[in-house]
Amino acid sequence: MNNKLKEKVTLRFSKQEDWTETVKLLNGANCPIDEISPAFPFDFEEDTSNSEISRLSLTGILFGIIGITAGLSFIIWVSTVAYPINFGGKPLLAWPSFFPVVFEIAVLTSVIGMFLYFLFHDNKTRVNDRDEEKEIQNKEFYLVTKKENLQKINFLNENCIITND
Amino acid sequence: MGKYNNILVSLQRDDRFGKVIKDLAGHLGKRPGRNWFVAFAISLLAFGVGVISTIYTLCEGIGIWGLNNTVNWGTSITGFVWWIGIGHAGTFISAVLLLFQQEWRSSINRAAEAMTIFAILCAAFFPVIHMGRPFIAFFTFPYPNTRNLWVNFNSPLLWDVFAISTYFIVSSIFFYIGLLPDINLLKNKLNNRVLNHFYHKISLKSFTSKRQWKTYKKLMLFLAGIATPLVLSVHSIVSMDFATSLIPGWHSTIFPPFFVAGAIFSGFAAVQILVIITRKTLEIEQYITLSHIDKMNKIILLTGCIVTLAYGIELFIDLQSENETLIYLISRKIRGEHALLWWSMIFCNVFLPQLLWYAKIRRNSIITFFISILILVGMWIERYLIVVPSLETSYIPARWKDYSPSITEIGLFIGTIGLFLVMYLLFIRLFPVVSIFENLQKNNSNE
Repeated sequence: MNNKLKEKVTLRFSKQEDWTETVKLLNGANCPIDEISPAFPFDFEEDTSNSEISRLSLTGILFGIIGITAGLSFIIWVSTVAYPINFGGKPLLAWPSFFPVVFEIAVLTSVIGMFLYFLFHDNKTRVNDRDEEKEIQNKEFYLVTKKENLQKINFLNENCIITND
Repeated sequence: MGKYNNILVSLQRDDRFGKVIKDLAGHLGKRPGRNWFVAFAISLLAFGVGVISTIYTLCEGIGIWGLNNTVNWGTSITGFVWWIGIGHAGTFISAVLLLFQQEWRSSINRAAEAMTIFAILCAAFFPVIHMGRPFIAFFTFPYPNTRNLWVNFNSPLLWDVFAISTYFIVSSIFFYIGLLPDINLLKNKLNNRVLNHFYHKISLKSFTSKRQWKTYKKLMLFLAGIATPLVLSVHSIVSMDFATSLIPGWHSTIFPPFFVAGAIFSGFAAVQILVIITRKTLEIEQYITLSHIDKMNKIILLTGCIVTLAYGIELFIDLQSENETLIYLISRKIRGEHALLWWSMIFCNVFLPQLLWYAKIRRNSIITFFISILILVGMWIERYLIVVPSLETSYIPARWKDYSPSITEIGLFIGTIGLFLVMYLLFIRLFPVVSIFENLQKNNSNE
C-alpha cells in the first residue's frame, strides 16, 4: 500500500488556472513536484524541483575556442606557408587583417555548438508517439508528483486527467 | 463558430490562452484573402522581372550593365549594402532588445527575424551576379584546390564572405530556435494536414519538461549575447570594402559606425512597413499596438540623428582636408550632376525623420508608413552616392567617366524586392507572425 502511494502520477490540465492552483497547493503542503510543464517558459519560482546543471555555456565557450584556434591556425598557415604573397611589403603575418575572419569563425562555431547541444541534450523526454504527443499537447499543462502528495492536499479536479507515470 | 474556426482547439479554449492562439495562428492553413493573392501576384511579377534580367545577364555577360573601367561598382553593390543594412534591424530587435529586457519586442521580433533572413538572401545575390562568372563563386571560399591557390585573408571582400555567411547562419539558427516553441504548440492543432505534417517534420525538439524550457531561455540569452556584436561587426566589415581603399570619398574612418547606424535606421523603417501592413491585414492590432510603432519610431529618430551627424562630419572632414579631389567630389554632389539625388537624400534621411519628434506623428501608422518608405528610398540613394560619384571622379582625371544604371541592373534590383516580398508573403501564411509563446508568457506574468 505504501509503495503504491509512492508511485508517481501525471496530472494533465487543460486550464492554466487549475494547473497554477494545484502547484500552489502542493507547494503550500511542502510536497515536491518532480516535473512540471506549461506551454511557454513559465516563471518557475513556484517549483520546488531540482534541476541539473546546464553545460550550455561551457559548450559555447569550448566551441568558440576551437573556432578561434582552428581559424587562426589555418589563416596563419595559408598566409605564411601555403600561399605567401607580398602585398607591397606588408608582413605575411598581418595580424589586424585576420581579426574579422577569426571573430566570425569563433561566433559561428560557438553558435553551432550551442545549437547542437540544445537539440541533442536532454531529449529523452521527447515523445515519439504522435498520439501521445497530441494528448500531451491538448492538455498543455502537466505536472508529475507522487500519489501520496495528492492525498495530502485532498486533490479533486474534474478537469484534470490523472495517469500513472 | 468564430472567424478562425479552422483551429482545432479542444477543451475549453475560450480562455485567454486559447484566444491568443486563435488570434495569432487562426489564419494558418486557411485559404488567403483576395488582398494576399493580389500582393503575391505583384511580388511574383517583380520577381519575374529579376529572373529575366538575371538570365539575360548570365547569357550576355555584365558588359550589358552600365559599368565601365572607371565605375566598376554600381547599383549592384548599392543594392547589396542596402539589403544587408535592412537585415540588421531584425538582429537588433531579436538580440539587442532581448539583452535590454525590452518586453515589447515580443510582438515584432518574429517578423523582423524573418525579414533579416530574406534580406540577407537578397543581398547575397548581388555579389554573386556581379562577378561576371558567378558559376565559380565558390572560389571565394578557402578550400584545397588543384590550382594551388588560396583566398586573400587581407582583403575586406573576403571578410565580407565570412561575415555575411556567418550572419546568415546565426540569424537562421536564431529564427528557428525562436520559432520552435510555437511550432510545438501548434503542430497538432491546425486543421490543415499538410501544415501539421510540415510542423512535425521541422520540430526537432519537443518542450515537455521544465528543464528544457530553462535550457531554452539560457540558449536564447547566449545567442542574443553573441549576435549583438555581429550587428556591429557585419556592417562594419561591409563598410571596410570602401574604407580600406584609396578612392576619394571612401577612405574615411567614420564609415564603420556610419554604416551601422544607417543600417539600423533603414532596417527599422523596413520593419515598420512590414509590421504596419501585417497588423492591419491579419487584424492583430491588439498585439502589435501603436506603442510598438511609437517605440520603433524613437529608434528611427535616434539613428536618423546619428546618420545626420555622420553626414556633417563627413562634409567637415572632406572640406577641412583641402584635398582638391575631395572638394570637387562634394561640389558635384551638392550642386553638380548628383545634386538632385543628394538633396533628395538629405530630405529623406535628415529632415523627414525630424517629424518623429512629435508624439502624434510617431503614433500615426499611416504617416509612419510613408515616412518609412521615403527613408528606405533615401538610404538607397545614400549608398548610391557613396559608391558611384567617388568612382566617377577619382584621383586621375584622365580616367573620369560617368555612370548610369542600365535597364538590366534596374530589373535585377526590382527582382530582389519581388523575391523579398514573395518570401515574406509565404512566411506569413506558414508561420505565426507574432511570437505566441512570448505573448502567453507576457499574459501570464501580467496576472
